[in-house]
Amino acid sequence: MTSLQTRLSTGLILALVGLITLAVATGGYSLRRLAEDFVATRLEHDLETVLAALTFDAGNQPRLVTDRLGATFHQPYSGHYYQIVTPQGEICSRSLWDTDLPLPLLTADHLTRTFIAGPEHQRLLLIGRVFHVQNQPVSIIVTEDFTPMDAGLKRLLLEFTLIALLLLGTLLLLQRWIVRRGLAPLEQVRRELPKLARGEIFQLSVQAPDEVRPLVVELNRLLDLMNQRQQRNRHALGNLAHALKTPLTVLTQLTDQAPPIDAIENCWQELRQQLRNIRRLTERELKRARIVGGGAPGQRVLLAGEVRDLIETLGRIHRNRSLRFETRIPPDSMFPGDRDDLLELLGNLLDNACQWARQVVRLSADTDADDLWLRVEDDGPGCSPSQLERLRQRGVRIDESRAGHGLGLAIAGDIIAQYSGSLRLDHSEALGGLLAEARLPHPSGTPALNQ
Amino acid sequence: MRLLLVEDDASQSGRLRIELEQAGFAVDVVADGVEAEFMGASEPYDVVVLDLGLPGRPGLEILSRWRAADNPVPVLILTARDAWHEKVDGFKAGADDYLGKPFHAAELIARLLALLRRSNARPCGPLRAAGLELNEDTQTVVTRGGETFDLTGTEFRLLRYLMLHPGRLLSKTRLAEHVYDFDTERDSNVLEVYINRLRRKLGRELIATRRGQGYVFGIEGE
Repeated sequence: MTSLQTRLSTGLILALVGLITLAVATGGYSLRRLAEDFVATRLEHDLETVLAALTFDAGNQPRLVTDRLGATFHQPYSGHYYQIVTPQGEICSRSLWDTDLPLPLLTADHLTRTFIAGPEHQRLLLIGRVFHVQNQPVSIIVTEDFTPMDAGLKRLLLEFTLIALLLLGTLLLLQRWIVRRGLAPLEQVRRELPKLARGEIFQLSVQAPDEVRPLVVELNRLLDLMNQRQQRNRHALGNLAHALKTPLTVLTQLTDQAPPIDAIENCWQELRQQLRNIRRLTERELKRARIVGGGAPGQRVLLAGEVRDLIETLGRIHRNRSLRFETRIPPDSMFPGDRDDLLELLGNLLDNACQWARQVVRLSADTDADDLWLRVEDDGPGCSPSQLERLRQRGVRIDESRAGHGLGLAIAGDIIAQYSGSLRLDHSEALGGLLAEARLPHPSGTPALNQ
Repeated sequence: MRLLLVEDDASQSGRLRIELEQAGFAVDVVADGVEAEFMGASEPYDVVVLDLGLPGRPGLEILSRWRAADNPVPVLILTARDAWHEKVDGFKAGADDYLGKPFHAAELIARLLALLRRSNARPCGPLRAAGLELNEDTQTVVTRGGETFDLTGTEFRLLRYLMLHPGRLLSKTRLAEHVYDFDTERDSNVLEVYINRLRRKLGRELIATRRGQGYVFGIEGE
């Protein structure tokens, strides 16, 4: 039952069949009841007419004034019969011919109403009662043939059922058509998926009904993200492979032949330089390849907790420097991305600040409707405008002698770029050293604060 | 100073062991996580160098277990995993320092010495006690008179341990435990020989003998 179509059809069929059965049953019952009541009322009138026409003569013999009764009582087997039973004798309608009706037991206090079998396979509705006329008990019954009424009711119910079945069929066809039409966009998506797998197309078409569009849009976004990540990884590996070849070539040449004795020192120098290059390249490119990047929906990290752990770590790494860390982070600030990326970004920025700071490193976070701002400042010597300019060109080291410096900023820049943000390097007005400010846009649809 | 080097790459640990021994450490090398945890828990190491990717048991788990058992031994994590989130996790597990590979042996040794200094609550600068000044880089000692002596590896390790614990009674067993690595035969007579050599170089009164108990460094010299 995984087909939506089958499921909907089954539901509809069950519901309609139930409804129709109920309608036929209650309809049939009510109609029969109505007809019975109607005929019974007429019979009560007949009963009264027969009673009124009954007299007793001087010999106490019952006598009926038949001209006051309807013609149908004279017509043989008309279905309209009466029968009067007195202690002195019995009077039957002419229509009965000579048939005797099986009479039920009658009482004086209420009307008896029942069906009995009549002549000619008739089914008779009978009304009867015991009256006291001139102190004599008189039982009177009148009947009417109910067979034509039965046949009429049966026909009516049959017609009703047929119409209902016709309606059911039409509704099913209509429903099938609506479902087909409603699911047509899904069918289109389904047809597109193999094409996507074969690489013939790169995105699904977004012409889908409102209920399905988010799914298609999300799928497209994930495809996009996957594509981006794949490209980035390929790019990083390509870069690395390319960049590694230069130092490797130099190293190969160096080891091809033993260096002349007087050039050994130069040779060592060169070896160390090339190793430094390789180390820097691998670190940068591999870290770049590890960035998860933004874009996954609902991916958020509570800033305060992660920062606390990171500051603790930095405090231990630089514990012999008696640095003071100041953090100003609104308690509910969220980083719209991956935890490892956040730690790598802040770790690099803060570590850089720690290396230059005299005493104070400050981290502040701010958030507005569109962006998250992370500011790292130190009270170190800062940079001259020309140094700042060079720093802004990613990956340039200001001070080769301090390990990791410059590279850290470059990696931070890479991470920020993956989140479509920007990194601003400037002079810190408050502390006098370097200010590194990361602006990270919130992904569309994510609230700025988790309030 | 006894050092446990937990590193599963044999060529790396082999070279590093030589450098660490030259720097005056008695080094035990363990390549397996389970064995490393046992060694660290049962031997009185002064410092541990711990790799994270180990066969048998991950380094961080070993560290957490030591810390859970209140083992305060200073631990330096030496690993190729040097992303910041890994550093944060390392320190959270109880590391005292964290060094990423590739590294320079000189930096590792400097960090280890800083760690030891911290664990002995000692200020920066050369180790000074009882009028002596120990130069850890050159493994030499300068006396109050300004005389400089070269020290052999064992002499250096022994003197450093004594200078880190001045005025304290140190049994021969304890000295041997911190001066020799696990595989060396700990013969107390040999230890006596080294004590006597130090006395000859630096003055007999510097190391007092408490018969049947051990040695006390630096009381008479103060």
